[in-house]
Amino acid sequence: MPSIAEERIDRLHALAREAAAEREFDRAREYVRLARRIAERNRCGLPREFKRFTCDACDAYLRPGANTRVRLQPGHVVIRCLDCGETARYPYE
Amino acid sequence: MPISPETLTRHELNGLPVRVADAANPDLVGIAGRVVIETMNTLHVDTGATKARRAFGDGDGDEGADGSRVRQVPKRGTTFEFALREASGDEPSSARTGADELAGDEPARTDEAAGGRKAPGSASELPSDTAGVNAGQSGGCEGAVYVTVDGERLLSRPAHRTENAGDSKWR
Repeated sequence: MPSIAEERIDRLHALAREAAAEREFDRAREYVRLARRIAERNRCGLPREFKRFTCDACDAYLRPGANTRVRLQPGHVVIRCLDCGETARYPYE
Repeated sequence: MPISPETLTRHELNGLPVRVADAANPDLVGIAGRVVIETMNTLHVDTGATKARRAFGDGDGDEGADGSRVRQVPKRGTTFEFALREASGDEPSSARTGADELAGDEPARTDEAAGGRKAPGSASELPSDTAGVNAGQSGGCEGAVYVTVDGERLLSRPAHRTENAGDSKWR
């Protein structure tokens, strides 16, 4: 059974996605920050999808095509946040 | 632990439909909409969210028309009324009122909290002041439970509210 903190993070993830879809990027950023703070206070980590779709540097919720560039390189995906220019990479099979 | 009248004060308020039932400032009474931002002492209510307002039987009224759609409401001295979707099966009927019923499932919750992964110390959670179960206010909101919460209970930093919901017995 997920704890309240985990459920809050799930809800905030959905809210951030929704806000980003409505181009309210600053509001989405607040939701991402709050979710991160809850995760760190309750030591419960963040879902992988949340990590992949948020910018580590500026907390933006990333929407490919809107504020994100996604490129494939041999062995890894490169995600660049177009708000702050931060690049994140993760491997793929 | 799904969002319920008991866990509301510890749960996420952003995104919930809310109505200001009572406030120290009479101008704020009746604001209905969706919580978009929570700060330590205030809630920001988006009065342009017509879907959330419809949960309170409010059609497209005057509020959404004016320029300022997001209203900032202080928590202190305000009584909020939240509408919860009744999705979980543990509350089959919306005719669930009274303190005895709330007190009845307190022990069960405490056990869950003890066995759960890392439940914040919720053993001392008082039954939240759930008063309003006024179903059938208008069409399309049968599945909602209305929870009235004193804003004093929400006075906390948003990220800390899961841990301390203003119900400590040490005050």
